[in-house]
Amino acid sequence: MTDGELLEQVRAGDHAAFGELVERHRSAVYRAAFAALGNDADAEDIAQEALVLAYRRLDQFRGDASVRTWMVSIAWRLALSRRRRLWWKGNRAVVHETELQALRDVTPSPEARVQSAQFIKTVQREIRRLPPKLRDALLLTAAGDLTQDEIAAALNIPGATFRGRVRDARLRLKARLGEKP
Amino acid sequence: MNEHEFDRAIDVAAGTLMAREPSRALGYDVMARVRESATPKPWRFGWMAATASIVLCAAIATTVMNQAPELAIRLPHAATLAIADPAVVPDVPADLLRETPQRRVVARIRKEGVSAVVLPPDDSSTIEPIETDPIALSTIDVPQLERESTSIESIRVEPITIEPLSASND
Repeated sequence: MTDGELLEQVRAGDHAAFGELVERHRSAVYRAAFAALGNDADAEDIAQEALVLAYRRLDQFRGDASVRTWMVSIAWRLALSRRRRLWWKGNRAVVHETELQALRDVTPSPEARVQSAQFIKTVQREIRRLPPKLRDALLLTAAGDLTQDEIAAALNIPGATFRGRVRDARLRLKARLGEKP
Repeated sequence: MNEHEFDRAIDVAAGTLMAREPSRALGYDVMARVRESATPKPWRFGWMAATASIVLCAAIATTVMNQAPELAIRLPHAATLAIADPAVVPDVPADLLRETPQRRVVARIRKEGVSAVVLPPDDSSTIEPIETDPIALSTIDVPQLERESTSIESIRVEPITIEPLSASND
């Protein structure tokens, strides 16, 4: 059953159909929130808010984009709002510390084992130091849940602008990593 | 390390950062809230009814307050009046007696006088006619006073002599 058919069922009053939609897209929504916030607790909280908000605003879904893109766009706006609030509260250092802890907890994938573990950690640290817009573009692309054009639509920016940010992020990382011994 | 190796390292590092899954509780929590929001809540209607009642009461109170007389008339202290006494209209401050019902009542009592007071039947009695003697008019003799004429003698004034000033200071 497609997302569109599930949506019709939800609009007809079938709440279980929305549960199926949540099951399909909750990971993408959660990872988008994590890309913006950098810690599990906030990401899970924002993902829950976004999915509930999507249910309440089903009438506003026009079908211009996929259901996943629409849900991710809701989560992205909520996550950016949370990130601004955290920054203004002065919790930026806390978020960074949480991110560092997350980096330590990450289990390397088989591909990552090919590389030096130490170098991968260095790259991750440099990714974290990128400007937010470039880091967001790089991490959302790496999540692999949406294409670059879909991410651009979710972020409400032109596709070319998004691809330019990914390219700039890579160039900056290469420049910094090339300087390191 | 060449360009391709850098790109590979960046992809692996970023992919490892994002290789995460939400907890199973996320889906359950979302659906619990969805079911909660889908079911109508009686207390919501209760709150709406309470709010509507408060607004209605406020509107009624405002209307009543606006219709109250602008001038509060302070009546004089109660006066104890005897039943058979003629009606005594207590003095009411003139500034309080404009076009009010009290003024009309007071004016009516003043105009009708005692008749406005209903006397008890025990106090009524017939008055017999009073006989009076006719009044006889008699002439009054007034004695004539004698007129005396008096003449004033002429006054003689002595000439005044003025003494010099130096002589008088000594």
